[in-house]
Amino acid sequence: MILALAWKNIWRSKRRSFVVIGAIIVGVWSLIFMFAFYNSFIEAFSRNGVNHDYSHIQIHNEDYLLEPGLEFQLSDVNQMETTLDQMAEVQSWSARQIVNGMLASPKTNVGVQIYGVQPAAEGETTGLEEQLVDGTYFETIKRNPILISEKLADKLKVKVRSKVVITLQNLDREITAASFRVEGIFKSKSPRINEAGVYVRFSDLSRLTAVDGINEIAVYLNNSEQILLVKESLAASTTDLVRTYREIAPEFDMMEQQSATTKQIVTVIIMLALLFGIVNTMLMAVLERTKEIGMLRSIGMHKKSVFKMIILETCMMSIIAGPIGLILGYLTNTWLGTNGMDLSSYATALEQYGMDAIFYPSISNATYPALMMVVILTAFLGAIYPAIKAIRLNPLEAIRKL
Amino acid sequence: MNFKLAWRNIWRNKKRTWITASSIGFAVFFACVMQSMQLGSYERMIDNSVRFLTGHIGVHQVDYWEEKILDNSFPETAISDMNLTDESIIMSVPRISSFALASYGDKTKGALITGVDLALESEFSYLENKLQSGVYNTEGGALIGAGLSEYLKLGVGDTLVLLSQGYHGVNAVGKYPVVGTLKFPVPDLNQSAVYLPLKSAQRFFGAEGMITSYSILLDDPDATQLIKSQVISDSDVYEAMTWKEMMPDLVQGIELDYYGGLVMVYVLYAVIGFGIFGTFLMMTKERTYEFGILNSIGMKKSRIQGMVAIEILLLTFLGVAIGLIAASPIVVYFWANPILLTGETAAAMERFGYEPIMPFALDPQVFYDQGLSILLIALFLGIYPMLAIKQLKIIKALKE
Amino acid sequence: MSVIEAKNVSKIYNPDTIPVHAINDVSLTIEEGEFTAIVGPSGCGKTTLLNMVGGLDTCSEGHITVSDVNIAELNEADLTDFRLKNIGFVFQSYNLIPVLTAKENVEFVMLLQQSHQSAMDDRADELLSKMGIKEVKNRRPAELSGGQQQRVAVARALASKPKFILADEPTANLDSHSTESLLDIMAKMNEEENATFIFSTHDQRVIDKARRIITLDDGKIVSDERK
Repeated sequence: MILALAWKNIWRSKRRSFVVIGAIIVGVWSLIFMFAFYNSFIEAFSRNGVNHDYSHIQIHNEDYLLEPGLEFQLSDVNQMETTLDQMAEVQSWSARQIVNGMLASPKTNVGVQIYGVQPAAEGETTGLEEQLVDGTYFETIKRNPILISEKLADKLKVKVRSKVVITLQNLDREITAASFRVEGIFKSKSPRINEAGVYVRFSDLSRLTAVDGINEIAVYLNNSEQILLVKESLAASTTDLVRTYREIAPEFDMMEQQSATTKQIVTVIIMLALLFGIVNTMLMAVLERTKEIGMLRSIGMHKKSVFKMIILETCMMSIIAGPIGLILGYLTNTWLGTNGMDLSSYATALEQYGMDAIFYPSISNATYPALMMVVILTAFLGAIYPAIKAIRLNPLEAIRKL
Repeated sequence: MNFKLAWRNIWRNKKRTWITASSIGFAVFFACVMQSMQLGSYERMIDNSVRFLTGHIGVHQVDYWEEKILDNSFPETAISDMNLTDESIIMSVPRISSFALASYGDKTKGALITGVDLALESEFSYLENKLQSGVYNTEGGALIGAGLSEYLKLGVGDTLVLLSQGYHGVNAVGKYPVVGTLKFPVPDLNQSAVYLPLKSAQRFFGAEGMITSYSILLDDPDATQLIKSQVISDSDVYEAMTWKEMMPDLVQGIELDYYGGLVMVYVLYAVIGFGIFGTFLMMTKERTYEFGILNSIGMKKSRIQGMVAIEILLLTFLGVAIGLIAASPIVVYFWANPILLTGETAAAMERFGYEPIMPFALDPQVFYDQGLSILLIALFLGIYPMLAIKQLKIIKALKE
Repeated sequence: MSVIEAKNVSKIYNPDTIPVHAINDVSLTIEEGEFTAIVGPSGCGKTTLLNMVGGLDTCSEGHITVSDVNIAELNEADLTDFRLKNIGFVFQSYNLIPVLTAKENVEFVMLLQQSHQSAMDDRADELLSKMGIKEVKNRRPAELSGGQQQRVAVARALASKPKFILADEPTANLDSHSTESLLDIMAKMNEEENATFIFSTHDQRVIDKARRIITLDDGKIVSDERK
């Protein structure tokens, strides 16, 4: 009965209800959109990080963690390689020798991190081959081929087939140098690698460093959900340090945390704004109906019921508006999720974070009911004051007014 | 009289006035605080980058920006041909920089070697204030970034070996005692910077009397474009660039962040806008009868509209005032005392290349913009009551 | 001299569906200085007639001239101005401006005519003392009794010295004492200021005071007698 009354009240003043309903729709819609955008940002960041830089799991010598030096090599590479090959969960892996050095062109030189890799394994693990923008992938140049990033190529003013010189300090503390020829230029999705990463064949690098040890094995899994499982079993089989990408690069967790915090703050702010509108409008509705509420009270409606009526009325509006906002948000996200959101004009800035310029907003399904609850809660909170106001009305006085 | 009526009318329903004004105030407050924070961090980022990296204006040999190599350096003496008389130029510094391998013991790392005039630099980039250990003004020694010092495991008193390719391809090799370590607000520099006195650096690179850039600091960044055009008169040897041209990624990053914040503010305004509209709606509906009476006793509709317009303006001004009054002490306080971040958040920011500090900007423009935005929204929504009054039918209104 | 002339005036509601003649072919002349009551049962068309005479409502047929001006020919803004200068209104439920004091309410119509402050002041004080409510002139409507409010309303209607004053059931919300004194005041104003009053009523006490009584029934004048 009270429910029916509340429902009818909503449609009595359509314009007023439109204000509350419209505000909720806009609020919910934009929240969904903003959430999805943040998600797409984080998701792209993590995806690029895993697919093109860190992979799911990396194995290092324990001392490598303290200072990444050539001398800290994996203890038993052969056994590890066998283990990895036998694990069904592992899609691919890449063993690397890593050393810091300087890369010089006839024009200038820059500090770089040199990765000595098995081309096929590296290609499968980080998709290096697909990221080439020019040249070929360890196919054409027979002697000392090197792949460098577009950014480095620009800095060094070199092109495919240009000669560059790597200078580094080998394990015997001697400065050694060798000339390489640029075979390919890549544009990595990882800003870190774009900045200073160069790839050479493992055999070429080990000749230069005079060691054939491995500093790092990156492991890419078929299914990212098995990451902890695989990590456990790998850790059990070796004395080396096995870490997930989240442990290696804390920025993934930090970004997620930061995004979660941002979402909470944004929600609270929008809901506060909504609250103002709801309190204002419902208060007006109560004051406008003074006479009617007085009448209801005098014909024997309990205070509790009046209170309930106002609360119900408000919550019902949120129940009408919430899903509309959610559906609009869902449609927006679906559309953008398919077509992408083009931020090409900020491509340079986004590249710094390893981002593509096209974003695909997405949101987990759990967000919809959660947001719905938040909206109903907001409506409930916003209705309390007007409802209190309504039951404080003296029935006689209320009738006398007008 | 219109004003008096309007003023009294808005206080007829005190609660509604306060609720509406505070919702406007809330939006203005939030938008002001957020934008001040955003602008503050941009200012700081720009200031740091401009001081350490580019200057507001940088003069280079014409090919240098395309090819940042020592061969594209230019003689210091060329400075005397530049027009540096403009009042907004605070100061200028010569710099020579290029990459080198820095070694100590068994460690080697790529480093950015910058030769500077130590005395000038301490004013230009406050380099001296960044000193973490050691002494600043020692001819012949090297100052190195704290991160690099940690990596190479060398400290004050140890000798750094630098190896590079110098001017016209000469081999550059040198040994420099580390006289101090520097802690930079720009993390990249921390990991790679080596500062040498200008003369030592020139000698190291075999580029006596040459510099790669001449950086100019302005007191009014808005004048950048103008002064850029004055510094050098038509020359095919030198070019002047603004910091925006030299750091497009910084400019873009700032814009991106700024627009992100703007979306949030717009959403907030949209939601608050509904609330404002609600108030106008009630105001109109509740007073239809009154408008009818006023019209029948001879008050023209235009005059009634004028009265209601003043009410709308008063209400909006009140809300804007509440927001600004609430926001200003906070903005001023944090402007004077920037928030220093610690712990994980700080670490995260540093990893992304930001200084772990949240400075606020004190820019009247922010307050002005927010006030104006809300005012425009209110005026736009005010069309509704205006139309409602215009279409008022006395007989119908009197029956309400 | 006649202030109002209504010729064959009709008001028809729902002309397209089920036509209702609220006013049916009424012709009427009101002379200056008259004190006229329009009487009749509820729904007889009193209010509609007053609204049309006051320029608040339009005639479906016929026309009304006030001081030789055909009010149907005025546009909305001019009509409002015309009302301001020529017609005073007193409403059943007083309808003072709630945020203004009694005196300000009286001054309001003069203000709309851009009178001088001193002239307004004098006129408002004069009217309020004639109404016997000078001592409450700084109170707002909510602080006044119904009778006091209606006297302020009469003062407001008189303030700009209009050609005539329309009062729609002015005493309907008043007790007998207030009714009595309001009528006395209106009669007094009729004499002293030569103000023309036209009021609708079904209150016998009011009818008794009127000097001309026009009886309406079913939208038609059934009798028109002068005392």
